Order: sequence, then C-alpha cells, then structure tokens
Amino acid sequence: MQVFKAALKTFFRHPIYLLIYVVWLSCMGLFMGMSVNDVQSEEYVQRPNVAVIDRDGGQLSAGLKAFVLGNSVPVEVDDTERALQDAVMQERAHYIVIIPEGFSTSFAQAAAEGKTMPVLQTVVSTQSAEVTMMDNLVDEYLNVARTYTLALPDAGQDQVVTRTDAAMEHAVDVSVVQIAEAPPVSNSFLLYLQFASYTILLSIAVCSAVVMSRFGREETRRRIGSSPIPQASVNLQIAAACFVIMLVCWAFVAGLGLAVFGGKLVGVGTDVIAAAIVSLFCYSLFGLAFGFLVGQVTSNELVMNAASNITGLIISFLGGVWVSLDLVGEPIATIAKFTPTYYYNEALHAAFDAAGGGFTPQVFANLGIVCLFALAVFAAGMAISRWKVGRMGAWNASSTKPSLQPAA
Amino acid sequence: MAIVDVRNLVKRYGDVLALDHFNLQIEQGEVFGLLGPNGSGKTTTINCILQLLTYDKGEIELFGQPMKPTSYDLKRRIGVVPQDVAVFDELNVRENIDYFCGLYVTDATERRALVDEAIAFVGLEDYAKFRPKKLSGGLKRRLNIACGIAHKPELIFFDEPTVAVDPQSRNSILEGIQRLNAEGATVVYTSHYMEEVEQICSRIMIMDRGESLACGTKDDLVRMVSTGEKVEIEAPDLPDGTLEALGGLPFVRRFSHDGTTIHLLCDNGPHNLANILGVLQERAVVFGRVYSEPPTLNDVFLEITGKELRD
Repeated sequence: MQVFKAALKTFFRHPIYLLIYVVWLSCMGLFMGMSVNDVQSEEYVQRPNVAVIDRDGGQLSAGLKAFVLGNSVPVEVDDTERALQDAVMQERAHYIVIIPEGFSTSFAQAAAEGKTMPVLQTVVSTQSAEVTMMDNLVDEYLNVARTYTLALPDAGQDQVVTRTDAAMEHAVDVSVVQIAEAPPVSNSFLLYLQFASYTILLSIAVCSAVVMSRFGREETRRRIGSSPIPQASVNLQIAAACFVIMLVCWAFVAGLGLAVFGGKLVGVGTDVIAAAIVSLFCYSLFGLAFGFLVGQVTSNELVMNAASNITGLIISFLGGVWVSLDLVGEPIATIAKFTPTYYYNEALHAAFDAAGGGFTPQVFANLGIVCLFALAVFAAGMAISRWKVGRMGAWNASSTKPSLQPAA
Repeated sequence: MAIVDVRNLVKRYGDVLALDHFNLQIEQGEVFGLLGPNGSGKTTTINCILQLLTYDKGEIELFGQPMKPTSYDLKRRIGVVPQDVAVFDELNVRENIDYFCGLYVTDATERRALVDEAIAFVGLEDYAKFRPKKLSGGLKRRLNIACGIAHKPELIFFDEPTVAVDPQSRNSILEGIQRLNAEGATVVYTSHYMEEVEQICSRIMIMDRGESLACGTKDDLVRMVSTGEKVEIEAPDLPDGTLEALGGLPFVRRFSHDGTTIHLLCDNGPHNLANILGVLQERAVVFGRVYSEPPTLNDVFLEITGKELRD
C-alpha cells in the first residue's frame, strides 16, 4: 500500500487544484443552478400590442376589430404606409391586422357560395407565442363567423357578428393538477448537474494526471522497478489511488448539489435522483480516463492544466452545457454527438423526464456510450504509454542510455 | 564468491549493439568502478542487471542466484541511486525516504528507525520536514542517496551520483559511499570523474562501445598502458650537450627544452627521476622546480578509449 498512500499524499498536497477545480467550480455550478426559476405553476399571461386598420367599415370587420382589440393591448396606428412601417420597426405594435375594403361583403358572398374566403393582411414585428396565439384567435373568429353565415343564410351580418362574439366568449376552464407519479423537474438541480460535467472533467483529469505523471518519470520508474514490488502491483495501486481521487471529486460535486438543491427535489423519485448521480459517476469515469491520457502525454503541469481546460470548455460547449444545442447550427449539433458530454446530458434529461424518468433504457443507453468514450480514451492513453516506451528505446539506441521496459 | 556475475551479456537497440558479450564479476565487499565515456553502456549494464531492461543474450547472477524480473528476494537486497534525482516534490525529506524504504521494508516500526538512520547518514536532520524544492542541489543529491540506501542493501548501484554537485557535497557523498562499504555493502559506482573513481574504488573497469576494455586495480591499469611518467625541470641555462645526454638515457622516450623548462616523457620505472637529476648534477646544471607526474587514470582512460570527442 506504500505506492497507494504516496499517490494519495501527492494528490492532497495540491490544495490549490482542489480549491479551484473542485470547490470553486462546484460553487459556480451552484450559482448557475440557483439563478434558474423552478416554479412552473404560476399563471403566465402576456398580451401583445395589436393595431387594427379597418378599411372596410362593415359590421363583420367592426366585430372582428372589437374582438381583437379586446384580447390584446390596443395600439393606435395611422393608416399610412410610413406609420405602419414605423409601428413595426419600433415594435410599438407586435401584430397589425389590416381589414381590406369590401372585406365584409366579399366574406359573406364567399361563405354563401362556397368560394375561397378573402384573406386579411397581417404584419408581425416579433414572432412570439403571444403573436401566434393572436393570429390563431383571428382565424378562429373568422371560421366561427363563416360557420354562422352558412348556418343562418337569412340572418343579417349583425346577427352573425353577435352570435360569433357570443361563441368566442365561451372558454374552457383549465386548472393545473399535480399528479404524484409525474414529479416536478428541478431545473436548478438539472442545470447544476449539467455544469458539473465541466467541474468533474477538470478536477479529476488534472488531479489524476498530476499523480500519474509523478510516478511516470523515468528515474522514478527505474527506482520503483528495481524494488521488490511487482510492477503490476505498483500500477494497480496507482490506479486505485486515481480511482479514489475520482470518487472524492464525484462525491463532493454530487453531495454539494444534493445538499443545496435537496429541498427542491421533494417529491422527485429516488430512482430519478439516483439515475442522475449515477450519470455523473459514469461521466467521472470519462474524466479519469482523460486524466490518464493527459498524464501519458505530458508531465508538465501547465500543459496538463491547459489541455484539460481547453478540452473541458470545448466538449462542454458541444455537449450543450453553455448554450442549448437547439440554438446552435446543424453542423455543431452533429459534431456534438461525438462528445461524451452530449450523451451525459441526454442521460440526465432522460432521467428527469416527466413522462417517466429514473433508470430508463434511454438512460442506460446514453451512459453506456459515455462509458465507451471512457474506454476509448483510456485505450488511447495506453497506446501512447506503449509508444513512449518504444520511442525512448529508439532514442536510447543512439545514446545507449536505456529506457525502462514496459510495465509487466 | 562473486556477488555480481555477468556472462556474455548482449543487448541490442535495433541495429545498435549496446553490450557486446559483456562480462563482469564483482566480489563481495568491493567498491567497483565502472568507467566509460557517454554511450559506452554503463547504465545499460546496470539496468540489465536490475532486470529493468530485457537483453538478447547472456546470464546474470546476483548473490549466486540467477537474476530474473521476478527475483524479488534478490531485489530486496539491492539499492539503486539513479543518476537524476528521483524523488517526489510533494513529499518532504522524511516522507520520501520512508516511501522508498517502504518498498523494501513493510514493518513501520523497523522502517522508522531505518529512515532516521538514513537521514543521519546523509546529514539531513535539519531538513527532514523540507520538501525537495526547498533543498539545494547538493542536499537533493544526498536525499537521492538516502532514498536508495535506507533499507540497508547489501549491493548498491550508484549511477553517477555526483553529477552537478558542489565540491563539498561531492566529498560528503564519496565519504558516505566509503562508510557504506566499510559497513559491509558492496558498491558499484559509475562516473565520468576519474579522481572520484581513483579515490574510492578498489577495482575499476573501463568500458566502451559495450565492451570491457580493461579491468583491474588502478595500478594494474596504469601498468597496462604505454603512457609513461612525465618529468619537468626548470633550467633556463642549459649547457650544450645536456639535452642530448638526457635523451640518451634508456628510459627517456621524448625530450625537449622550451628555453626555461626541460620536458621529458619516460617509460615507467622506479628510479627515473634520480637518474635524470644525476645527469644534471654531473654537468653542473643549475635547476629550479622539479615536477614528476606518474601516469594517471585519466591518461589510462584516454589512451584506452581514445581522445576524440564523443556525443
């Protein structure tokens, strides 16, 4: 256990790394998580600014105008080209309905004769849910009016408008009912765990790479190799120490998240939380493998830090930690699928899926891919390790200063 | 009994022959010096003996038993002090020695005593809590040695332990090696520094290009080479015929006079200087300082390995 103890001592003698990569980055994750509003049951009503230009002056157009303005924030806009453009450009009006001259008459005729219905001119300044909703309401009003025109052929347009207004006033009462089996998703905890991919990768990779590089120095290997400890035992003890380092980082990050956001997880199934924590564990394995790779490539701490930071930033970005992948272009979204962070995030979202999260097949599939990434990176590290031994042998052939033989 | 017995060792790096049917026998209690220019195969030899390198052919026995990569009982009796300082920057002096000693000695109580002894041996008592980065180059070298000897090995390999070390530290290291030898350890010492090898080694091997070129005591080696005794005598006024008379002595190989000093190169012999001074007195030559230098190990080394520069 001598090697194991020395490896752990080496790790704990780098408090700055622990402070920056484990504690500080975890705190950043906490701040990000806390900045998200978890409350989802609040009523959310926002009405768009709407202007109606009635060039028709008929009864139907008057009814439509009254309906639209009654369901929006009315805005007065002059019926000139310049005024309309300014209203749109300055976003004074989000939605403008222009009812053309003769609309009421042609609407009634088209409805009675089954011809194509006349269309309204609409101008949209900012596409939003509210504007889309308003557009749907206008269509719905005209559909109802068309139905009454067909159903009451002898009725005047004033009656059609009256009945349409009455019909449009009917609304279905909607209430939000909390179902026990569909727990609320804690966006705070989810965001924290997403950011934790960056924290975990950096902390585990840098700390384990530092330890591995210390034992990988040629003269140190020579000294240990000439001792009565089998090389396999030495390697196993170093691996065990790095695994403990990984566990420490993982436990700290996961524990801190649960401690801070635990209150917001009341009602969330333990299987969902467990699936999320297991996802983080699988991603930690990737961090460990990456640390091994970096430890084989360089023993320069500055390079280790730079490599881990740059890689961490890139794959976190590609994994959707910094910017949602919905907002990036198709090429980047495609590249993202070649990073483990993408599958880690997919696993997290599957675990928190309101329609049935926890340990679902989708979670297992994504975590399997994350573990395969870890295996691939570890294999690359092994290949580099072997290549380095071979390269040192070749170099020594010219200087006849020997290299060490590969670990048994 | 030979404590180290290497027979017909062959080691190749691709097309390069690093060791060519190399033989080496070291007796118990010796301080054996392994001399050779860069790339001569010294470190390769040690690494093969320690089973850190595979080799193509040959047999290696330590303490009368075949040495294999899994000969852990034999490895337990060996100590290694590598050329570069191989310690952990994160551990202090005591922890470093304890770590490397712990690879050999598992009992913590026994180890504590050994670590204390090693610290005292290299004189690092005042620095036991210091980390290597705070130590000077000489102190680091001493720590490097302590890490290799703390478990009291019977056979110790020192691979150029005094490279880039100040004279005081070098002297301390050499004295330490002699003390270890006096306490019963057999020492294999590689170095570039002839004076060090002359000072501490009972037997010396000069090797080059993977071959043993000469092996024996210092006197044995000196006798092997043609380089003779150099004699210089200050004599500004030299009467005619004196230089020729000196040149006529049977043991004088070369002679010259640069206006102030007579330079003579002689075969090795017990009475060279007395005979030369006799000739000068016969001719009433007034002379000043007389300087006589018998052949050194450096002369031997240069004659055997050649004077051309190496990589």
